[in-house]
Amino acid sequence: MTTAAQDAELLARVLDGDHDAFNQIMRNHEDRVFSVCLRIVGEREQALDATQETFLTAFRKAGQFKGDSALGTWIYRIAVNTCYDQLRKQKRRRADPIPDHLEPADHAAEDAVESAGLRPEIQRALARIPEDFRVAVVLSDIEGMGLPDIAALLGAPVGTVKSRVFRGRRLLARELGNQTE
Amino acid sequence: MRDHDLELIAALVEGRLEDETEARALIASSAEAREEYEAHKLAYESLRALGTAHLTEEERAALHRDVWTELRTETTTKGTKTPRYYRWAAVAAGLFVITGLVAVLSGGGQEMAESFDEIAAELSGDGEAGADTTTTAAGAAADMDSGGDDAGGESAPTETTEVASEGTTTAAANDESATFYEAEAARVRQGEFTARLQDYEEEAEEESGEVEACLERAGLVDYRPVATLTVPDPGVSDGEESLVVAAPQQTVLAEAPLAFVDLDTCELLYVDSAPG
Repeated sequence: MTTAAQDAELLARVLDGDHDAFNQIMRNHEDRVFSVCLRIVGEREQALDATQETFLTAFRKAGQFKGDSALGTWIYRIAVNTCYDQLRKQKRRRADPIPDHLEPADHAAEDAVESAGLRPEIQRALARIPEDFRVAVVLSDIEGMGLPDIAALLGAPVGTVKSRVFRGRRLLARELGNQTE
Repeated sequence: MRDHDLELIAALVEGRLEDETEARALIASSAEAREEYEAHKLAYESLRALGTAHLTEEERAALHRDVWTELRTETTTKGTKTPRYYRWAAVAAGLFVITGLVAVLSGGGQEMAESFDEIAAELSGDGEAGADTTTTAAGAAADMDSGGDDAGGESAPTETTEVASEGTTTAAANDESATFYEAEAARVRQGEFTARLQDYEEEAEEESGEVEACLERAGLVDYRPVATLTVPDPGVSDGEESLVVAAPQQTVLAEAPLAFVDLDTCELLYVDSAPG
């Protein structure tokens, strides 16, 4: 993780047209952005698209970053918003994030899911809980972010985020329970 | 259950408690609390098991490559963005086609064409350049209206026929924005969609009524939307605007002329004539 001073320096260089500085920002944050997106949208290809779109947006809006939060928080906020957009598109297509054909008997599919870092049953359950709760538990329980950081990222009160995490866990547990029944 | 109890259970699940006595006692004394604890534990441990995902090295390289490709394209586009007068000229071009047809039917073609030149020059605010762009767009529109051949120009006034025969190629040579539209049109015809250029069937089905109405307003009756395109808006800092790409009904996409229409204003911005 970079310090605020390093972030500010990198961003200043980006605004001066230094492409290496933006590459450095990408390197600092791309894995986590991708991870957040993958857990939220559930499909690797879409997560890659969302990651790309996140950094394009970050580059385009670099001049608007005021430094009120850490650069990482700002970038993850863009990522989460991008993922919400992706999910809206998914709804239009009415497609399940994790196709039902990914059964254990389908070894090739299972290998693909495993190599993608997905645990099908958990990812499937995660995909079935409402977006706001999914985002909250992903940021809290997978990415290990604190509630105040998530609240800053989502622009929501800490109490709201806490409620979403708790309810999200309950809903996820119910979905996981349904799968094993 | 009280908020304090919920927080105690969550903290126990997350391993944040130095002293677990109170939390353990709560779980032991209440079925509801025990159920809450089991749910939190199952969800939390499952999510921790998922862990942080990582890009493969190939994906990482592709990400950097694609981001810079996109940004360079945008920079090029931004630098060669169609000027406002070009848009008005395109609208004037549409009017020109209509008035030309009226003129042909009423036998006053030559007079109408001259009037149009005056209007186009006035709209463009840039005399000769505006007239060039306008008439070229008109030629392309005439080309599309006639289904790709020049049938629409045959009975038009002499001046119109000459302009129409030049097609979009002349504009492409003189205006870099034409190069951009041509490249996007080629992608549409080949089905090579990107984050910026998206297949209409997949991405915009909910707005189909609005889009079709917009095409009609642009004078493109009997056209179907085939793609959407997002481009930077030079009039708004960091803004973007959406275009729709349309082709005549019942044409094969790979061989169809393609029109670019601004979805905000429903203005016809550019027409890429049919390949070949």
